[in-house]
Amino acid sequence: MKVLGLILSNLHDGDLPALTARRTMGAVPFGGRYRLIDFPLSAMVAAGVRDIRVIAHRNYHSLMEHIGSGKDWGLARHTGGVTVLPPYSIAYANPVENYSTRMRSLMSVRGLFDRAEADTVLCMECDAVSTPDLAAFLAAHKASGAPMTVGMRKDTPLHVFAAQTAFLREQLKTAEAAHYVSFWLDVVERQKKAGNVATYAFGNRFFLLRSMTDYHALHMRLVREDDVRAELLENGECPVLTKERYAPPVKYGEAAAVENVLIADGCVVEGSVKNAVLFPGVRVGRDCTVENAVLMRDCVLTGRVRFSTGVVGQGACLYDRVELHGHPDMPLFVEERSILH
Amino acid sequence: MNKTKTCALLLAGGAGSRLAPLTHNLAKPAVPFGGKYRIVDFTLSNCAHAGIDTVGVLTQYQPLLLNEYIGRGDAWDLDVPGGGVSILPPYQARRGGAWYRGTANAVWQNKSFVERCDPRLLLILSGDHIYRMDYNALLDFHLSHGADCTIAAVEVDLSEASRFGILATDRAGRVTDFAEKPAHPVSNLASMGIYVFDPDYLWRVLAADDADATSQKDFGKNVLPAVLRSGGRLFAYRFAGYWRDVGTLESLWQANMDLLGEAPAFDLFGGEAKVLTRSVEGAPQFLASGASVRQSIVTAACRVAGRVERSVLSPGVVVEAGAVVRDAVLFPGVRIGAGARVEYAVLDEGVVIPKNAVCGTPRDAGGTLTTVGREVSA
Repeated sequence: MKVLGLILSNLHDGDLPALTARRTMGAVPFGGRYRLIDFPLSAMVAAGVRDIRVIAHRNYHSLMEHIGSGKDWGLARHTGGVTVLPPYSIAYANPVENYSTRMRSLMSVRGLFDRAEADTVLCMECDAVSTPDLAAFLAAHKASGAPMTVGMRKDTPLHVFAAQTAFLREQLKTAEAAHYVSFWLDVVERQKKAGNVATYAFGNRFFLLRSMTDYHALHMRLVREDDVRAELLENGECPVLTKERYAPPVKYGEAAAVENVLIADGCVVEGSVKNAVLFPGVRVGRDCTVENAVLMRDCVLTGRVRFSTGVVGQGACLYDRVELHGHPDMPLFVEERSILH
Repeated sequence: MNKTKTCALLLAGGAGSRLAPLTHNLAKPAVPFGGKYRIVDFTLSNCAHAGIDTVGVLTQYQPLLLNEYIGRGDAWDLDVPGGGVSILPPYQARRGGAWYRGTANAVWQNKSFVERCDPRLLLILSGDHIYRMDYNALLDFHLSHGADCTIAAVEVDLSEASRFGILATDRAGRVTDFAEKPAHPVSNLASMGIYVFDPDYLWRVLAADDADATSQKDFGKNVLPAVLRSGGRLFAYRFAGYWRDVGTLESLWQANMDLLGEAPAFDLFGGEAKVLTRSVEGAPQFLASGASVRQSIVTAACRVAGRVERSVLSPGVVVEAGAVVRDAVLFPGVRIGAGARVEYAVLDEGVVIPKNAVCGTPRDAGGTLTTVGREVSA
């Protein structure tokens, strides 16, 4: 089985508008040092997929910089590797439409299926955090003989499917002729009725990120629930790979009081931090108190800052006597690069 | 910015016996330092920041890990066409071969490597120093003084001076006297073991040194005194920044401690010049509830549930609940069992301190540094 991996990076941008104003969903930071695309990308690499295309429609600069040559995933290769495919054709990258559809994404790379040596296409999206065993999924797909297999978690279909390349090519041809709009409703559902779609139940969890509340809550689960952290960040079968930043290790000051915290390298912590996830380059000053929070890359808290239950956006600066408290149902979000004092 | 083509040779062949047992299985430059680094990272990063992209690394003692670590030099962006990092072990040639016998002999045996690179200047470096230095300033100094050889030098405590090569200079910076590890040092200006040579001049000096059967083939002991004797233009370039030779366990421990605090002696976070390294980060570190970490440096993939003070933790270290780690340097993968106590110690890679065990004696109670090697099971 020769597999071509596809990752659709923009489809769910609308779920986290505050974080996707300047980047695609795939480039949304997660878990201290990762971005959402690292999860499907690393899972594919762990399953031996070495030829991967990432389809992007807008705001893809940070995604392209993140992936670079693919070196950090072992994908800087002469054969295969990873390539980001930005829109190149007006027909399928309608500039008026904010969020391109799954159908348009697949249509836009149809040429790949004509040329591809791969007999199987494995397609994932960036709406969930998970470390699935894709090798088992692909093996099940092959063994079933079905032209297409959709991944499920219990009874819920996931945005993960494997399909025979020739089958997918034919479906897209039909879809174009019939002016189908929705890939799931018009193609997958029809083919399911025709008995061409098998399902596969994943054993691991898929944590969906449908809102800022989900985003904040999943980070809180990462620090509070050992099994969630172990499944997502310490899964030896599917190590999550990401771009190396060469940041120095974390430095803790004399008065630091840090508990239940996941911290990426490059931070300097001198104050008090509890139940939090800190991304690289965050600085928390001596008299600051942070609780139930996600502090994104390079944000700085100094002076007597009190912050709880929320997300501080990348590069934001809180200083002097700022006091901000959110609620788990409505976590605060401090705009990226904003300055509050 | 110096545009002169420079080739660097990094001397990394010593057995590092004063760092035993940490060097039982690996060369000194590959010894972990400062959490996520290895000693050689500092020198290679200096090369990268100076744009010196042809670097030969002379290895002979336990080179396996060091070779694997350095690889093609890609982690330091040194894997460029026409340059790159070359590992240079001793080799057999038509007229036989031999182990490197001293630093000067190691360079002499790699004459053909340097000639292939055909540099205007040759920079000779040591793989066991912690410092951040702009080599271009040194190279500019060498050229502007019309020197045959320039030694980088730094002021050290007079009490420590007899550990180093000690220089005396005139006002212009020309070296008037040089003594390797003198019993009675004439000054506190110490050689950093970093030399710049005009290659043609160096080959003439090394050819003479090679022919001298009484020579120990050492730069400090033989070559530099010979340069002085023959009236060569030998200059000292004064370096004012942080520089530490971490050749002994005590100095390695101290240099790690120099990274701590709000105004550390050596700031890993300071300056434009990031220290580059190959180490792979792994998951972010996790400090569990009940953990307390103060005045310390902790690296990715660590799990801390106990108390850590004035310590440096490398990747993957685990400190279980109730354990106390103080004044310690823990190498990658060290595990401190629940309720155990580690005081004033350096623990080698993968060392496990069992539950409730005590390792080392407190520094403030006048204890001495404890080192636990990999072979020792506590």
